[in-house]
Amino acid sequence: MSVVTAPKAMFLRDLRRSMRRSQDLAQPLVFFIIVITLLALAVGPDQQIFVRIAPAGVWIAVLLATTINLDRMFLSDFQDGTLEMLVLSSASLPALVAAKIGAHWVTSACPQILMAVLVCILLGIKTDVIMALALTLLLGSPILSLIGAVASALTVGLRGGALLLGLIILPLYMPTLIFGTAAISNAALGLPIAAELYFLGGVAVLAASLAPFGAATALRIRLS
Amino acid sequence: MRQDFNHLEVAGLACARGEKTIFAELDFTARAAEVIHLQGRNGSGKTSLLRILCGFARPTAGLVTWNGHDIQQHQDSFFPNVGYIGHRRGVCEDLTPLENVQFAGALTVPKPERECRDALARVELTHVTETPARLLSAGQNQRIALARLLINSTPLWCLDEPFTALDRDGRTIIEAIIAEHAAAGGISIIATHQSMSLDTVSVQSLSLDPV
Repeated sequence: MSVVTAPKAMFLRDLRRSMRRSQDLAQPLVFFIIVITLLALAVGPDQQIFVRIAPAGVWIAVLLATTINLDRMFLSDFQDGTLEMLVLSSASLPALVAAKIGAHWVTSACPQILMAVLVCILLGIKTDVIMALALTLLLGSPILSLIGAVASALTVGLRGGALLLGLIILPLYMPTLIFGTAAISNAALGLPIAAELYFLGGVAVLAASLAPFGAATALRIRLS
Repeated sequence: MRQDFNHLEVAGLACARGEKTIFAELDFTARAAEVIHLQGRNGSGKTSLLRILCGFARPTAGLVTWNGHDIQQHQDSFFPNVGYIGHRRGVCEDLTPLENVQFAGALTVPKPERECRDALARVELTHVTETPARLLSAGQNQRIALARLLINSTPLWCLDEPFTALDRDGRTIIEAIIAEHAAAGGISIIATHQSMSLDTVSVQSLSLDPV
């Protein structure tokens, strides 16, 4: 048996489960749209200001939508006893956890990125800025999911876990947010954004190589 | 698959929750083809003991060894030997029984669909293999968990109240399955308040109540 068989089964199972729970799929996306709409209402009728701050607003909205959705990453597996099965599996737990994080990213972050790009196109934002936004989100949102997975595993099943999760995770998201929005400001001024993209790429690789192990260990602790 | 050499040995095991000792100085050995019937009042530590035996939780004192190796130190080689059904059954309610069993199989070695259907037929769920588990009853969900146990032929079964929600047919099925498991050389550790009729199998009773 190859080492990817079990993680692949895990990934496909999580995708299938998400497809059957359409409300889980829709909630972060609707939340995202509401935050953007609130921002537009708060800024008022000045189109110029809104266009300037919209990309940063989109980043914040993605950050918040990811955070409110994080507690679901392991919750139902914790509640229905699947987690015990995963621990007892002959496949490595970090690999299974990585597959779960991947499935969570596909179902929660991907639709948001598409929606973000769509919103920016509708607002008539410059193509360079939209490109910068899409690239930073593509590199940044996996970081959010990966770091979030560790915190989500630590707090799964705790009373008030969702709030605790937010308190743990939002400070850790600051560097990603700073570099993501810095790239967008640079793009708006016509400056290169390579440095920020390299940074985000580096952090994404670092998170991808460490977070599954951290989350797996946290899950083992939560089970004992 | 006969595995006559398997044995689980428990020595001086103690478990405490906070200040309160739940059980202490527990010794027993479970050998191949044996069934251990774990009994005790509510709160006597049956579930805690099972979770320690599976390696999920650490005991306060004492040692659990599987074929001579400490299970806490050799978790990676021990875990694939264990089949566990707890109060949380490990059944995803958004998936169908068939998908649940297939996923459980894929976590070790992927099984052909026919084998998964056979396991579901064994627990008499043939007519609902494609119905999401959320639409099935508690007893039927318990049967899915049993099918999940059947698909991975692990030598050590730790079952926590496996008769919960099962009807008389279900009880007969699970007793037959446990007897077959023992006949094939497997070890079952079963925590239940109910009596089991396992005539052909050597059953060791273990009470966690203070004497």
